Formats: sequence, structure tokens, C-alpha cells
Amino acid sequence: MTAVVAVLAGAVLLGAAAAIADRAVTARGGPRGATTEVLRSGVRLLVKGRRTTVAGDRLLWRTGVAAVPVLAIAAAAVVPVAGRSLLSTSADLVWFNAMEALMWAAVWLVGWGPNSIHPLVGGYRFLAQGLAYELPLMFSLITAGLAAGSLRATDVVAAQQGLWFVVTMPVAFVVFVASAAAFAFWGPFASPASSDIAGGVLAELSGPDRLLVQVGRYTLLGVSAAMAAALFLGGGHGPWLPDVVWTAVKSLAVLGALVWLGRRLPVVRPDRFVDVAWMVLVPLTLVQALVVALLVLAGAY
Amino acid sequence: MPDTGLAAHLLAAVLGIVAVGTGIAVFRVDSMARATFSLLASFLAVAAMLGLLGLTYLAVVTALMMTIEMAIMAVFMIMFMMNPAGLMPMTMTHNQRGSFVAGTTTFVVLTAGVWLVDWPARGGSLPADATRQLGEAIMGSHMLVMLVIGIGLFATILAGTVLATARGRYDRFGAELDRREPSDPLPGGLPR
Amino acid sequence: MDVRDRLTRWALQRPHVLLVAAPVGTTLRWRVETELGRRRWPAASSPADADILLTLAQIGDLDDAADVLWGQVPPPRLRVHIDSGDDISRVLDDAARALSERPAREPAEPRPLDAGDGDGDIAGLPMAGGGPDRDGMELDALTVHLGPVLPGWPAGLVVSATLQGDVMTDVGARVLGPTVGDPRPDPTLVALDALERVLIVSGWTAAAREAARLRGVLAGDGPPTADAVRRVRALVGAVRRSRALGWSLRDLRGTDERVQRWCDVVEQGVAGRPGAAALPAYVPLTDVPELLDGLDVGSARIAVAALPLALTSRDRAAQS
Repeated sequence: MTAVVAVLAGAVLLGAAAAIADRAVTARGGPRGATTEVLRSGVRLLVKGRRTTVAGDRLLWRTGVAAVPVLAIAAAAVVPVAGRSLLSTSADLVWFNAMEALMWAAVWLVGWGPNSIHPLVGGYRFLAQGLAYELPLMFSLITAGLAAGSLRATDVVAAQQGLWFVVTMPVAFVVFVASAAAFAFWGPFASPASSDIAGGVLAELSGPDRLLVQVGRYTLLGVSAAMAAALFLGGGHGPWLPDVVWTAVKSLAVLGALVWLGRRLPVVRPDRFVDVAWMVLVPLTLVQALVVALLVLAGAY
Repeated sequence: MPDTGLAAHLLAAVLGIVAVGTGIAVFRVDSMARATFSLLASFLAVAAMLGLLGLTYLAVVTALMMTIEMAIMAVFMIMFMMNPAGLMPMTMTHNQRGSFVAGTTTFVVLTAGVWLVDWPARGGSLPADATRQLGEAIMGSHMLVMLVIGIGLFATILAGTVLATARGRYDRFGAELDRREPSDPLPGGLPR
Repeated sequence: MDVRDRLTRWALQRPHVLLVAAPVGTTLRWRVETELGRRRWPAASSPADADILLTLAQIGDLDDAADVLWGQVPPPRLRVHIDSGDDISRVLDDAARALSERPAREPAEPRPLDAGDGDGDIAGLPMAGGGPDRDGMELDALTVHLGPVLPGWPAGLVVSATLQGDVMTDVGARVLGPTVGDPRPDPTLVALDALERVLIVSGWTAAAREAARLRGVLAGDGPPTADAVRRVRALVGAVRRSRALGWSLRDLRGTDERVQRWCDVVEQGVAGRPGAAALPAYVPLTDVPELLDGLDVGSARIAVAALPLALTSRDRAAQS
């Protein structure tokens, strides 16, 4: 039970860190100002009233909204910390992928539910963008599992005892970290929620609904950064400090780099991005998997 | 490790009812979006049951694949359908008599089979890594077949897509394939 | 409860503002936006995100649009009006105070404002009809009106279109609100305004905020300071050189060239060579449908953001 609470707290804290880093990078005011502002936005959303729309599909809409944070936290269940994860099965990496895929469907529901044009366009943009990114993400996850010889997250961390995976599979690392932004529709991949469609899937959301979706987004960002640190940067391995501290340091480092880089780029247009994802990223991740497979056969791991 | 206690049996029963109920709901709701997601709920209940049986990899992969399938259904059946029937009554059944007979017969045969077949007793214990054992069982001796089938499936998908599009290379690059930039109604992200 | 009230007041200290402005009165709009930026009150991206609905000066027939938007703002909410002669700072202070005293629940509207009146099928709204689209498929066709209040959108413009998927066809454009009014503002500021619009719609929020801040700085009296010039040059350089932005704007009915022109105007203005001749030729409203036909909603928004539209009577006079 304490493990459940710990994972929940960890996921929410990572999400808060992502939101604070995001605010600190975009606005002036430093980290303390950013924390205040994030808290203030959160409380404001709790205070605002909820909205309903005319002839919307209320059941699907509210289901989608509630599913977004739940799935982000469910994805946190397989992040390995100090040699254990809350849910440790022989197919952890696939669980992580499945939670992101379910979130993909949930965000579409958030776009479809309100019977309004801007969320609908946002929802379909997310579908197209997510579909284009799904294969590169899957291949990069599989590459990490391939090198470790197991799909269990703790085994992947243990296999990095000697050498971090990022050295032999940098492409997979970059693709995975970018997928954090892509599935949280944040930063350069924020077209489902960007200003050119008046906030997209967020356009008709207010009050606690909006808070749930925002919490879910930032939590997924943080949890994916933690997973990237575990799968590619050696997780808790490191001198002097205990496992938990190293995990936290690496996760925050990945998160910080992701947020800083993500905010320097404008939002990529989905119709331009899907071309790159299918034509460049899919072959690239496949070649990466091939290289790692050859290395496995040569006994490099 | 599958749990054979009472709680697990109850949970499996509940999941079974959910799966059948949402499956029926697919044909009773008045909206393609609700039908799609009822179907997804049904598949997720089945995936949860597989998880209860200790077949983790199958469970998660079922959930993953079915979600992606339903999302693609959301694109093709909802976006492109003439009447996705958001709110108006719609009917999704055809050949009602024939399918009722076929469905009921299949259900009866399968249920009878489940209860009447003499299932063999388990020889050996649970493997340490069920996923690895599953992989070796499926692909160990049939690797070449899997590879060829995989590539064959992929080639079929590509061929089908190419045949289905109305515009080909000659529309994009001219009759002599000599245009520098393709003429598309909407430019893509890459200069090709 | 005291704690709840204090928390509410603290939470609403930076309210999100939805600005309803007419095509004329640009100077007032810029002053208000500068003040809002100084207070770090964010602009609402949609009515659902807003706390304060702010109407500026005379808005004429934009009033109906403002009423519709007001119906969509969730409580606690406040409607504020600012006229040209008002002390903007004092009005905003009063607004912030009044907002925190608003109730969190209001009596429900008697009927939702966007329900149809007719005897359509669902909630009085007719179902969308179908029609062939540009690929020859039968897609539902939906009539949609973009504007007059959207982020990064020229004030008062309404673009109506038939949407199939997100492709716009049968585009029509018109202007709401008074179009006769104050003199044309400084070309450098107009160009910075256009750049800010493009940057907002392209999702480059950091650069958009910088452009808005610089517009506020340059609108002050006297020649621009050396620091302001440096910042302007840095911004324009970043916008010009940005490969990601160029990638988004490529092949978008000339938007790329227009953005480069706006950058030129800003640079020349800051270097001390402003002149109305430097501004790109105004595009009349009648040209807009042709420009937007066949584009998807996102591309259309970017294209409109970069257009030098002739919305006021003075712009139209300057065209000829």
C-alpha cells in the first residue's frame, strides 16, 4: 500500500516539476515564481465552474477527461526505482506503451465529446500525430528490451551495469524522449491544443476538467522522462549516492533538458510532422534496432 | 502467477459480464463513437482476464493493439462515414436472422466445449519468464515462417494502400517523372 | 469560508482576460495589452479559459458577439469595459478586486445561447449535411464562423467557411464593429503586431511575448533606446533564421514572404527609417476567400495572421 502511495506521490511530483520547469522557462520570475504561478493556476482551475456544451456526448467527454491523469499515473507503475517497480511483470515495456496508447484514445475522446469544432480538430490532429509517432516509440522501446534481453523494466536497468544504453542506441533515446512531448501534446507537439485552434482539445474545458487534463499531460511528461532515464541512462546506477537519488537526478535532468529544448521551438504543424515521422523516424528506429540486434548477437551486452 | 482464490474467480466473472455487456452495447448505442469505445471496453475486459490468468504479455499486447485499432476506427469509421450518427438513432445490424443463428450456435458450441472437453492436467510448473516462454513457443522453431509472413503482410498493406490512392507517381511528378517538386494539394513536411 | 475566500482571491490575482476589440482603436488595444502584460495577466485562449471579458471603446455590432462569448465564460467571471479616456491601470485594479468577490456559482442561464431555434433534430440544431470533398469522398460539411475573437486573429474579422474535415471551402470574410476611427498607427508597431499574431498562431509563445513587450516599449514617447533596438534586432533575427518556423510557413500561399516583409519593416523602423511606403500593400477583404480556399483551419489561421488586411476605412483608403 505504501508503494502505491509512493508511486502516486512520485508521479504527481514529477508532473509538478514538469509544470514548474515549463513555467520557469517560458516566463520570467525564476523557480520560486514559477512554483507560485503553477499553484495559482491549479487553485484557479479548482475554483472555476465546469462547462457543458450543447448536444455534446457527456459520457465520452467526462470519461476521456478522467482517463488522462489516471493513465499517466498507471504508466508510472512500471518505472523502476531502486531495483523495483510497483508493477513488475515480464512485459513492463509493453504496459508502458499500452498506457500511452490508451491516453492517445482518451485525448481523442476529450476532443470528440464537446461537439465543438476546435476540440474536434484538436482531437483528430492528436490522432494523426500520435499514430505517426506510435511506431517509432514502439521500436525504441523494443530496442531497449532487445539489448537487455527482457521486457521487464528492472532487468533493463540491471543490464546497464557496465554501460548506459544511450551510448549504443542514441537514436532510440532521442525518439523516446521526444515521444514524451508527443504523447503529452506539449511543446513542439502541442498542435492538438495550440492557439491556432483556440486551445484545441482544451478549448471547451474549464474548472476541474481542465485541471485533470493538464495534470495528466504534465504527469505523463515527467513519468516518461523518468522512464527514459531508467531505460537509457542507467536508472539508479552511479557512484557514491544511493539508487533513489540517482534516479531522481537523472529523471530531473532529462525533464529539464526536454522542457528547455521544447520551449525553444515553435509548434510543428501535424501535416508536416507526420511526413517526417513515417518517412524518416520509422526507418531510423528500425536501423537502430538492427544495429542493437547485431551487437546483441556479437555478445556486446 | 495466476491467483485461483475466490476473489480472482469473482473478478473474472465480473470482467466476463463486462465484456459481454459492452459487446452487446456496441449494437445498441446510437453513436459510432460510443460503439467504438464499447468495443474497446469489451476488449480491455478480455485483456484484463488474460492478465488474471497470468498471461501478462498477451494481456498487455491485446490492450495495446486493440486501442490502436479502435483509434484508427475512430478515424475511418467516424471521420469518413456519411453519418457517424452522433446522436440520432442508428442501426448497425444487417442480416439479423442469419447472424443471430450463427452467433447463438457458436456460443452454445463453445460453452459446451469449455465444460465438456477433458482438458489435460498441467505437467510442470509455471515458467519464470512467461513472455520468453511464449516467444520461444511461438517463434522458436518457426522463425523463418514468421519473418516471411511478417514481410508478406507488410508488403500487402503497402500494396493495398498504393492501389487505393487515386494519385500516383505520374500525377505527382509529371508524365516523364521529371518535376523537381511534386504537385500535391497539401505539401508534406519533407521536400519530396 | 474565510480560507476558501482568501484562496479564491489569491488564485484570481492573475485573471485570464478575453479581449474584445474593434478593428479601429488599435492604439487603445495596444495600451491595454501592454498593461496586461506588465501585470502578467495571461490572455485567455478561449472563453472557457477566461475570467474577465474586456470590451474596448466602441464595439458596435461586436456587442452581440461579446454577449455570446459572455455566455461561455464560466463563473466566477466579470465583464469590464474600458473607454479611450479611462485610466487603464485603475480600471484593471477595480476589476481584480470585483472579480474576487464574484460568486462561484451563478444561476443557470435560461437556455444555452448556442442552441438552435429551429426544429432541427437534436437540441434544435440540424445535423450536418454531406458533400464531396477535394479527394472525392463524401464527407460531412459543416458551416463554421472563425472569429471575431480568437488568439492571434485580426480584431473584428469574421471568416465563414464550409468545413469538410478541417479543409475550408466556400470561404467568406466580413468585418464586425466600427471601421471608421483613429489615425493609422506607426508602421513599425503595425509590423510588430503582425509578427506577434504570426508567432502566437505558430505556437512560439516566448517570441510572441517578446514581440508584444517590444511593441509596448516602442510605443512610448521618444526615439527607441539602444537596449530596445538590440532586443528588436535579436527578435527579428531569431524569427528570420528560425528553421522550424520556416518549415511551418513553407508553401503556405506566400506567408513566408509576408513574414520576411514584416521583419524588414520592423528593422527599418527601428533603424530610423520608418515610412508608410515600407509597409506591404494592404490586402482587401475581397481577396481573402480566394487566399484561404482549400486550406485547413490551422494553415488558414497562420495565413490570416500574416496578412496585411485592410479592415479600417483608412487602410482601405491607403490601398488606392
